[in-house]
Amino acid sequence: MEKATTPQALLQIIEKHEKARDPNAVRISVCGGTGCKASGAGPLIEAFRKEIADRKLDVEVISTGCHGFCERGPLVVLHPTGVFYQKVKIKDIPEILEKTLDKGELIPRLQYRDENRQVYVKEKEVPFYKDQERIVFAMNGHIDPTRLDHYLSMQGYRALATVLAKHKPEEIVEMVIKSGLRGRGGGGFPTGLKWKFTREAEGDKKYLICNADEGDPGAFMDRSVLEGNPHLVLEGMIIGAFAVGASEGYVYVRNEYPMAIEHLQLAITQARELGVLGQNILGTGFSFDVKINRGGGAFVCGEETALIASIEGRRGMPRTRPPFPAKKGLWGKPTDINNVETWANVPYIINRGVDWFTSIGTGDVSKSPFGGSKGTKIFSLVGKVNNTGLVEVPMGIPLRKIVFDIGGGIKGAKKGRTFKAVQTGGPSGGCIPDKYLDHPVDFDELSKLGSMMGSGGMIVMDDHTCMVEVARYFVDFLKEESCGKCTPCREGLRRMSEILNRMVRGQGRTEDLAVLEDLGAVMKDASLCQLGSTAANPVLSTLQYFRSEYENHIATGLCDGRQCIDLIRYHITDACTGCTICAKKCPTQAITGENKQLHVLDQSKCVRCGVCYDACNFNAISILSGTEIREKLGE
Amino acid sequence: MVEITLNGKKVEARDGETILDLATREGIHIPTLCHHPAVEPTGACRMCLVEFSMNNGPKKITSSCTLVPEPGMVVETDSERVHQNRKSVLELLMARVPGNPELVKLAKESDARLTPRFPAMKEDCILCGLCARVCEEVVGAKAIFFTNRGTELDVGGPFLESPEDCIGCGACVYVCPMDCIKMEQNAETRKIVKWDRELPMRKCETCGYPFMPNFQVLRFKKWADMPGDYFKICADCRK
Repeated sequence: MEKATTPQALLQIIEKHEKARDPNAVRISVCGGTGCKASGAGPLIEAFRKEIADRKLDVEVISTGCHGFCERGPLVVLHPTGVFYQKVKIKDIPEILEKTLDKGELIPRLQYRDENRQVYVKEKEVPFYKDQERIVFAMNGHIDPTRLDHYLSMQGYRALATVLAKHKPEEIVEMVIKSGLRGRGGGGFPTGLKWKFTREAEGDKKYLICNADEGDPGAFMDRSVLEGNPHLVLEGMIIGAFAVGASEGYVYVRNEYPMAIEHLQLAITQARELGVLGQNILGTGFSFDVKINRGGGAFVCGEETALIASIEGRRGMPRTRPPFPAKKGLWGKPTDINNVETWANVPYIINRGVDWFTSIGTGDVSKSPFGGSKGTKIFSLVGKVNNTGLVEVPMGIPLRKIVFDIGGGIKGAKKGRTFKAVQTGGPSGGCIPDKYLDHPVDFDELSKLGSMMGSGGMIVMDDHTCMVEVARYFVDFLKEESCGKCTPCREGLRRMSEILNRMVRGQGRTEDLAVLEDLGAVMKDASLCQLGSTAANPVLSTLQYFRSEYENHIATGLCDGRQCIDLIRYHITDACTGCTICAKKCPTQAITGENKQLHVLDQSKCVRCGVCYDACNFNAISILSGTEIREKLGE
Repeated sequence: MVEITLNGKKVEARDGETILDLATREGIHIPTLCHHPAVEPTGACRMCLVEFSMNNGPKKITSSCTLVPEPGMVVETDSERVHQNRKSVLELLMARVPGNPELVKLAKESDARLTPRFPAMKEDCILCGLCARVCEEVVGAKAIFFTNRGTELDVGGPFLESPEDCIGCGACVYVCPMDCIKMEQNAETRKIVKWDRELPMRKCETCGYPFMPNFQVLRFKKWADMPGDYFKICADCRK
């Protein structure tokens, strides 16, 4: 790659690559994200390339970043037609090349069909993608993240060239404030204001950090952005460094993200070669370089002051704020710290303008960046929905649209499963019940419901979910991941865990609910950092919306979700046809019965794994709980 | 000099003062456990909580030992919310270290529950970290620190074994607010019981008193570049 020595020279290089990209060229995009790699995308890409070389075809095979629809991987999209194939195997390759690429015929078995068996041809028609608005993810699916020329051909580094050619740092800060961009890592603090505080803070040296310590269970949006488009994050950081006056930057990324680290390291090398990173960037006298810092996997290191302590080589423990990192951060110097997704939004705001960005989302940010939530947010949609994966949606979209349109509704709806709650914001988020499904999703609205945006985890729960067990699970996660420094978080979580673990065993007491609320209050108010002050959310929100479930656990041992194994019994009803499938599948041989005879379940042998329930085709197995156990089984 | 409002009264904070320092100077009592003037404040125990707001913004609770006065700050040390939170923190600490005289005293002072609603643990330490901070910031030995995290958090030497860098100076014994770090000493050895660190003593060549562990002498010589015979006699005989 030739080196650009002025912003104009960089613009010329970008234009050259933009012109070289033929939108009508035949390309095969294979998702090379971690999800699809896990289902075999690596060898698939190699096989595609070999087959095309053997057949001497003029077709480019691109190993792209994550497309989001991980559960259908490996995903293949044929350009320019946009034909979408899912769960593609190596043996499908000749057929795809001969039928679809050559003759334009579709291969039904590789096409996506929804739960109503409707078939969709193109990627953008698939319901999972149709209602998404992909900005940060726009290039994922089109570019090879290891190829700088691909990034340049899609306006890559154009924003940086514009900034360095035409703008003063203060103008960029003002632009980001006006855009209403707020921190995507969870806090939702206006990014532009952070930049302004860092710019105005006194200090001979300033630092910039990209927080890629994504620790929420089941969340992988930051990983997918870094893996799929590392230059986008780098470009955002370089623009940010110019705006705040930072000369050194760090990306704090989890060591469990090897592909993200590999792609980012490569991008850093390429960016230095291009002349957009390092000393005297584009001949403007502005210098900035980036180092990668690999995290050891502590959830609490996602908290900014703990993260800074960890980079400094100290134990990852938060400290009290103020002073905020903008004033006193890494090694005591003014430091701006933003999340991966936040950085990735920056080049788009520069390229397309503040008016474009503020046209997406909720509220009015013309007077204050706190006035609304602008742009898009990537969610990791998981749990009991038909379509799981990464979804990027405009701020303000109703929860219902995410769960039922994009997510395709509740898994097993035909078997009677219904929606119960959606948990947003990771382990310290709250559970939102169905009556708020039409509520818009943005920073402030989710807080009003006792939950939070967090970094974008979204777990959908069905009627077979026990909300007491949900609270117990998250409290036990946080109890292990808290740093343990302050009393309310460490001791509060310990006591919440004791109470909830008792409760799911049927040993809850009437006074427990008041104690849980008292603990929640002190944790929320008095904890040292955001981990502690939000750690009670799963308990407080379920107490608020699903209090009767707690009361039932205490009063009669009834588990509404039929999930707490100490409080349920599986029971074979008269509907049993004697098909023997449950007896064959039972791992503990607890079920006996002759062919075509009513089967019997020996409670003393049953471990309540639920295999028989899932296996039964006649709805002949019921799950008893509470008083039903005495009534039906006489226990 | 920064002017703030403290319990409804305009007061001036001196340079470098925290809200805890300022309130103490103003004669306002704020209970503390992990605070010590010799080390940097850390805000771990959450006993010294106060309520504060900036420029009429939302009222928040935070630790006064780490709160630095800024113009427009309004601080309440005596509100219902402050007391409720302090009481809850005390209840949690009392359940962890039952019957500790210092905690009982604070509980009586602040009208907190003397019998916590939680099963009693058999700990003697509230994990305030003061021992480790003094060891690092004042002594410079860095012999002990936190280990593990979350509810498993503990304090001690590396891998919770006897800390090889402990010089047996006893600073941790002196500052511990729970009085749970005990020191045993006879003519030959000194032992810091909690860390399981036992060191032979050096005797004064003049009076014979075992005044300092040998290992401490070695480290002091190294750190302070002292002459070889400086520690042959004790401080009293040197006078």
